[in-house]
Amino acid sequence: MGSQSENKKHLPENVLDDIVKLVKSVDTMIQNFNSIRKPIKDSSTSVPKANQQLNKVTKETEKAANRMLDLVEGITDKEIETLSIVGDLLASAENLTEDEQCKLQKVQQNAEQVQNDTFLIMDSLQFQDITTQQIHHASSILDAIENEMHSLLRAMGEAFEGGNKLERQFDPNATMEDSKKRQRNIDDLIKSVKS
Amino acid sequence: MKILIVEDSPTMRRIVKNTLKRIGYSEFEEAEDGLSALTKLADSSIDFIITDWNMPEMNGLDFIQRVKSNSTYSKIPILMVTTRSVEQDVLKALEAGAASYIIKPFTPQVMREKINEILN
Repeated sequence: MGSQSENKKHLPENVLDDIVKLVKSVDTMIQNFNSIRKPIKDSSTSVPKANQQLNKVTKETEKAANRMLDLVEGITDKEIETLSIVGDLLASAENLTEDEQCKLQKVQQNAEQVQNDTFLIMDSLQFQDITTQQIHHASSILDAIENEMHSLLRAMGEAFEGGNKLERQFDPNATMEDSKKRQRNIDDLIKSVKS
Repeated sequence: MKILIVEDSPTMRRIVKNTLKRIGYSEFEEAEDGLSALTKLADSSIDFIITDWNMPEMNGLDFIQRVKSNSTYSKIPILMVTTRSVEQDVLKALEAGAASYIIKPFTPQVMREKINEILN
């Protein structure tokens, strides 16, 4: 076997240059890898934190929506009671003056208006389910990014245990927009299927 | 008429229940996913089912298929109430045995209309 210096002598000059360039390039790559290792590692620990924050948002909005539902149900019950009392009083209208009847009718109209408005508030609370699905979609994207980062870090020689991911069921296209139009399209589709 | 509401979101379960009360229904059972809904079906006499699609354990589509493949429950009408409005999803639900389909957010008018259509 020849020595290293002997081998060198057998290599053409241009190949030797290429090898030197290649070694330098690999060295730079290793340095680059090492310089991005820390930011990747840091980011990979930030992703679960972001997911935790999103979960908090979901839980807080759910709590808030349920508190609002408690209030709305309370108001609705009271309005039903009010409307029932006013209805009874108006039924015995012969004992009331014209002015008293007018006032009671006004109370009845107001109570009905409040009841309708509370129903509208209740309908609007459907936003909570839809935004939760949108948040779950965002969380699943973050999970995928975290998995990719862990794979990259493992390839760089870092030991990583994958944490347990929450099972999320969601519609990636969940939206509040154009619900009437989308319902009409579905109704047309159902009609065409059934006809 | 006793209605089984199958929905994983507690908020939505309350909204669906309140909507049904507003349009004249008063008897309900509730389940948070398809699997627990099957238990409810076995335990109580259900006349009508309203189910969501995206749920853990067993989703709404699988639940409909399970109900429709069981001769004891197959005649119970099922209304799907979901955010999924892609044509293929609607067709899948109908194929599985859903009698009709409502997308969220819905109005009480649409709920009343669909239930009446199914029952009549």
